[in-house]
Amino acid sequence: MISGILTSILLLTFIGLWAWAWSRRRRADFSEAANIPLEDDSRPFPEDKP
Amino acid sequence: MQSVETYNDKVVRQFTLATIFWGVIGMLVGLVIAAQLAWPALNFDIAWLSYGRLRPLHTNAVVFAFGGSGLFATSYYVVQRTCHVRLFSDRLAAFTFWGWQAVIVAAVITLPMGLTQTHEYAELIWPIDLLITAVWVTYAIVFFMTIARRRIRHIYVANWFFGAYILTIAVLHIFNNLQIPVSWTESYPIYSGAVDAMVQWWYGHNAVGFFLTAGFLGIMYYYVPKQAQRPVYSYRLSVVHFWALISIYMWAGPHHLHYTSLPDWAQSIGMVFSLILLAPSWGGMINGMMTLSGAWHKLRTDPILKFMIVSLSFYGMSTFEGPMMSIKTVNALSHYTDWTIGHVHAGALGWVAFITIGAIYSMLPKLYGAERMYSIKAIDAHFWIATIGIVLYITAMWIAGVMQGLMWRATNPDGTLTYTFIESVRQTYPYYVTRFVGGILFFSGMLIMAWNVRKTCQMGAGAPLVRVPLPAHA
Repeated sequence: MISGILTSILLLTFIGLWAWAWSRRRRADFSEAANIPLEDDSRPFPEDKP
Repeated sequence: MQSVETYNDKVVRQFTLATIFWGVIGMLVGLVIAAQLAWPALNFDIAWLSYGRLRPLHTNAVVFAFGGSGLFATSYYVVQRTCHVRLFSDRLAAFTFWGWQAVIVAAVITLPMGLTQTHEYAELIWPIDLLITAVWVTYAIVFFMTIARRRIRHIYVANWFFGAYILTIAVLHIFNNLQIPVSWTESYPIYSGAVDAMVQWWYGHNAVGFFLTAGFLGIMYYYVPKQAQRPVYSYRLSVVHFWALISIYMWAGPHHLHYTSLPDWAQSIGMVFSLILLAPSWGGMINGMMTLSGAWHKLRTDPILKFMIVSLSFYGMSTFEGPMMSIKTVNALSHYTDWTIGHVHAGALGWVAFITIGAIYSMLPKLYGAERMYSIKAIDAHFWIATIGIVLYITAMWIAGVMQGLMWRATNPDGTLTYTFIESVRQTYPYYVTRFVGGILFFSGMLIMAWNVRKTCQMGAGAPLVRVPLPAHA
C-alpha cells in the first residue's frame, strides 16, 4: 500500500517535471540560460574599454 | 574603478597540469600491469611491483588523480565563468589542490606497500580517508559558496551536475569508509557480510554514476557548447535527464553482486534500475551530440570537437552495454570475465578520458594566454592514436571475456567441467598482448598531449588575469 502510494507520487513528480520543463513559460529563461557558456570569457586584464 | 575582480585561474592551472601529469603516471601503471598479465615474470618477484598491489594503484591514479584533478580544474573554471564571480576563498581553493595532491602521493606510497582496506575504489587506509574527507568538504564549501555569490540568477546546468557529484561523493565516501581503526594502518568496517558488500557496491557504482558520469556530464555541458559555439541542443532535456539520472543511479549498485549471498530481490532491483538508466544516460548523450546539429562540418577541421563527440559516442555505447550486462542471464556469462574490464575501459578511456582531454585542449590556451594549442596536427594525431588504442583494447577484452565465460560454464555430459581455469588463462594470452598494444597507443597519445601542452605554455603570454564581467548597472 505505502510502496504503491510512494511510487505514484514519484511518477507524478516525474511527469510534473516534464510538464514544467516543457511549458511555454520556461522557454525564454531556458534559451537565455543555454547561452551562458557562449559568452566571451577571454577578457584579459588590464583591458582597454571601447 | 578601484579594484577589478578577476577569476581565480591559478588553481585551475594547477589542477590542469596535475591532470596531465597523473594521467601519464596512472596510465603508465596500467601499461605495466597489462604487461604483467601477458608476461607474468614482469613483477620480478618484488612484492612492491606485484599485480595485486599495482592494480589498485592504477585504478586510484586514473580515477581519482587523473579524473579527479580534471574535475577540480573544470568545475572551478566552469563555476566561475557561468556565475560571473571569483571562486570563493583563494586559500580554501589552494587547500583543495595541495590536499588532493597529498592524498594521491599517500596513495602512491601506501598501495604498493600493500596497505589497503580491500574495498574496491576505496582501498586507501583510514588516515588517508580522513584527509580526503577534509579536502572534499572544503571543495564543497568553495564550490557552493561560489554559487551562492553568483551574479547570474540562473544556475547553469553544468553546475547542477558538478554540484550533484560533489554532494554525493561526500556522502558515499563517508558512509562506505565507516571503519573502526585498530592501528595506524588497519581498520575494520562497521558493516559485516552481505551488508558490507551492499554498502561497498552502493558506493562503488555511484562512484561510477556520480564521479565518472555526473561530473563529466558537467564538463560536457560547458565545453561541448563552448567548442561548437552553439547552445546546448535542448536545455529542457538537460533538466529532465539530470533529475532522472541522479535519482536512478543510486539504486543500480546491486548488479555488481548478482548470484552472490545478497538477497535475490535486491539483485533484481539493481537490475531493473540499471535497465531504466539507459533512458537518462542516452538523454545526455543525445543532448551533447545534437548540440552539433547544423555544425557537423566543424568536425572536419576541429580535432578537439572530435574528441568530444567520440567521447559521447563511447558514453552512449557503454551506457547501453552496462544495462545489458546487468541483466542476470547476461551477467551469468560476463561476470568475473575480462568483458567487465573492457566495459570499464570503454567508459573510462572512451568517455571520461576523451571528454577530459577535449576540455583541456579547449581551455588550456586561454589559461596560458595563447591563441590556440601549439600544434593542431598533434591534437589530431593524439585523437587517432588514442581511438585506435581504445578499439584494440575493448575488442580484445570482449573476445577474451565471452570466451572465458563460455569456457567456465562448459560441462561434460557427466557434469564435470570441460576446462580447468588455467586453460582459459592460456587461451587469453593473445588478447592480453593485444590489450597491451592498445594501451601503448593510448599512452603514446598522452605523451603527445603532454608535449603539446608544454609547447603551448611556452608559446603563451604567461598566466593572464581574466576580468569578471560585471553587470552594467552595478
